[in-house]
Amino acid sequence: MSKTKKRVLILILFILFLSFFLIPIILPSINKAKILLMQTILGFFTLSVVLLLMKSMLPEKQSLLVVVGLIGCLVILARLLVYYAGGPVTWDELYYMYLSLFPKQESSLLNRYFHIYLQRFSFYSPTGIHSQGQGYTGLSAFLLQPDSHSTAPIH
Amino acid sequence: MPSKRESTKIIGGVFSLLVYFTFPYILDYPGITYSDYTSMLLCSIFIFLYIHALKNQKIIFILLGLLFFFSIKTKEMGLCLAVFLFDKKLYANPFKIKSVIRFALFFLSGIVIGILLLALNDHFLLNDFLFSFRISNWQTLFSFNLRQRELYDLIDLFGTLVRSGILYLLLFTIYIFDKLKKLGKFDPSLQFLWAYILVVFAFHLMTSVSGSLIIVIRYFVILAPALAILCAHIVSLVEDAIEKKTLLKLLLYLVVCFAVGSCLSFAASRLGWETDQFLERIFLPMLMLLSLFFFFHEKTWTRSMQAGLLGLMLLCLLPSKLIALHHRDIEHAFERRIHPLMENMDALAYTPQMELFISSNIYDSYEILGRDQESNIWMYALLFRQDVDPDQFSYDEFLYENFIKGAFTSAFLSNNDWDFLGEEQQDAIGKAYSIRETNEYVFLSVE
Repeated sequence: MSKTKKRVLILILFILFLSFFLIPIILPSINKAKILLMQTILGFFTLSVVLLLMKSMLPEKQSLLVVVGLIGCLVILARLLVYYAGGPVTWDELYYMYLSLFPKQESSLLNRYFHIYLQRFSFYSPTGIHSQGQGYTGLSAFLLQPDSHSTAPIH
Repeated sequence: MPSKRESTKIIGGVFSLLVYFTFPYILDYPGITYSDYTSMLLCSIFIFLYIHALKNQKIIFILLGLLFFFSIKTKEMGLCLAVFLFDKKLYANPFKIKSVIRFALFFLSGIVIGILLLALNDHFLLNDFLFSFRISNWQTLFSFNLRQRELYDLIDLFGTLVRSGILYLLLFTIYIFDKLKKLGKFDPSLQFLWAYILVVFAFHLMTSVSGSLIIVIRYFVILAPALAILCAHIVSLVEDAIEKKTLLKLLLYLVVCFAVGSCLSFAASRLGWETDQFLERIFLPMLMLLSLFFFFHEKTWTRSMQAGLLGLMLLCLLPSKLIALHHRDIEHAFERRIHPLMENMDALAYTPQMELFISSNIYDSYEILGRDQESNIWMYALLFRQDVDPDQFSYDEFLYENFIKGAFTSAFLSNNDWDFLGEEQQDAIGKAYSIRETNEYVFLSVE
């Protein structure tokens, strides 16, 4: 990549990075969902530019590229999807969540315990369950998302 | 992606995400704590490691063992991941028994680490280090899972695959395999992704034959990453066609897709049909048939057309999924269920003396709160972060005579229950409790 292209990319990166934080200030009237959506799109463009720059500056660090791509995607998508997190819809899911919070020996669910323990982390995360009864499904969005991040860099 | 061009890899990655996000259940039910999603996460990390694995990487074998065990401990289908271990690419000397055994031991050590980690969790959280090892526990599990069901309950596998469009994606991967082989771009590891998909189906069939599982579309989300990867290979088949002015052609294509989508919405609204149903029942099957018709055509333009058709199908599906996500249907559905508890949090604060009565007519009439004693306890526990003694919760049909005898500190009655009472009975309750009436329920609490 030529020096000029690199400079242009750095400039684009700067503008994208700046706009990411400026959106809520420039557009105070739009709702949180739209701000998050715009920030996510900008976030993906920013990440793409970062990866392109990394690829040109550190051509031998392929693993680092994959790791940055994975973590970047995870953070960007998780931030958006935690906002859109739903909740349990059936008896089973409610029970899994209850067992995650208040673990009990339940032999009929013996082969589900990794899921139950993993879910437990979500209750103690900043986006996890809180006393208002909302957002306790927050981190389940994390459970859903990382695979999309692992799917992307595979290609 | 079998290509040296960067743009093909990037477009392929984006295409795979498009397949992934339009896959049934991915955006439709965000945030639901289905174990299938966790299972899918583990499977995709497993596949990710498998694809990036070099020959004889000890750490990869250990990690694969760990993930394999965690997958099984999330959902039985994790067993299907074992198929990847038969790929020669993981072993430098696949025909040397000693070498294979050596790496099998690394894999097993990963499993042992997983067993120990879970046993530690069992110890600290369940106060029983041996919980997962006890034969009696496994017997309980098998007696629960392997109980015989009626044939009527077994939803057909084939029908499920057709309705969800997964069968079409499978057929499409066969088409891609054929073309990749002809162009000399075929990577053998793709065969194992395909084998993995087949093993998952075989697993489902076996469980259906034994009558132990009902098959629903949700069980197939674990295939989403594998199918997304395979379908994205169509991009490497058409890279020559979009070699020049790639960005412009892509933009034009997106504009066409957008125009088709808008025309569909307009046509559906003119006909008085729901756009989603029109898409799923008429337009997408038409596109699928058209695509199947050109499966065996050898000309180069058919490859571009196939890629275009699949892209169009996915882009037509995406908006409705994003709209559902934006409307937060799932979150609102659960909030609606739990809102009586949320609206009366102050009066429901936990005390050891708390005795809560919930009339079964509330769920029967409005589908709010739990449908049994347990689910009400779980909702309360999740909302208040407080485990309760089951005896503190009564879930029953509301009968005035029984209710007045009980020593409840608070109660939820349905409007029907309340209206059915005589004025004297309402007054009697009013003397003992403070009353809060809403359109759906009546909340009583001791003052």
